[in-house]
Amino acid sequence: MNDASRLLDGELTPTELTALLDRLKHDPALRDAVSAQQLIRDGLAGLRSLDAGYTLRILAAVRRVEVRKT
Amino acid sequence: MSEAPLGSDIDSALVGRAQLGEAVAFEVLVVKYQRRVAATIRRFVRDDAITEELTQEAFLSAFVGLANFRRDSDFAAWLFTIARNAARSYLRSSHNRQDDRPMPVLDSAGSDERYAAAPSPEEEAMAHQLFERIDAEVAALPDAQRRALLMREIEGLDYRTIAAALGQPVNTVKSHIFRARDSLADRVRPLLAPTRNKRW
Repeated sequence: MNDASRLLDGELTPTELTALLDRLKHDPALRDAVSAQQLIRDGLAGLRSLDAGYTLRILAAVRRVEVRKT
Repeated sequence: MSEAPLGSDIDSALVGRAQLGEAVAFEVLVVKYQRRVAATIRRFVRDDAITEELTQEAFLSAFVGLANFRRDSDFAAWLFTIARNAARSYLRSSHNRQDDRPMPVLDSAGSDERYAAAPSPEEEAMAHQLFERIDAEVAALPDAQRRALLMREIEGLDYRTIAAALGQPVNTVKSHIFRARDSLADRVRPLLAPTRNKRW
């Protein structure tokens, strides 16, 4: 079954979550899949106003804070 | 004994990993909630550029405050409270401005460099095209997949309830939903390709 779907639906066990987070760090295709699946879910729920680059801008800001914390 | 799925504890598990310094766990939470947080803020400020600014601010506040967040609390509720507070604080500060500059909430996007990261017209057009394509692809799904998917995503029903309503085993319903999502994701991904370098 699709890991991105299972992640977003809470269908993963704790062990599977650990493995998936490790994969997400190194697997752009899996990150794409998670982003695309969430985009579809949001779109079906009527949340259609934001572009795909929006996430990156938020994450870039979070990473800047993270770097300052370390 | 096999482990049970995390279910509604998935956010708590992600928060726990993020608290331990696993940044990717917080990134998943951003991906999961960013549009809902933005929608919450937009209801207050009604401006895309300011919405983006405040959405970013809300996630940053959440990230910084994560160390003190109790994992048995509701992460989503906490995050939306942060978002509402950011929006209210913005509105208060706008209202209290003493200078003559127009308030950004009434201004068009992009005139203030602080809000330069607002979605461009091209990005807005791409999003519009993307969601139209999703609608078309949903309409083209096999009936069983489409019904199960819409009950899950629009009505917010859990697998068991959907299975009972459709008279199908829970695993069959899960299979329909996951196949539908895979199919949709495969079809919309080419539309995301132009921004591949910008995405998570």
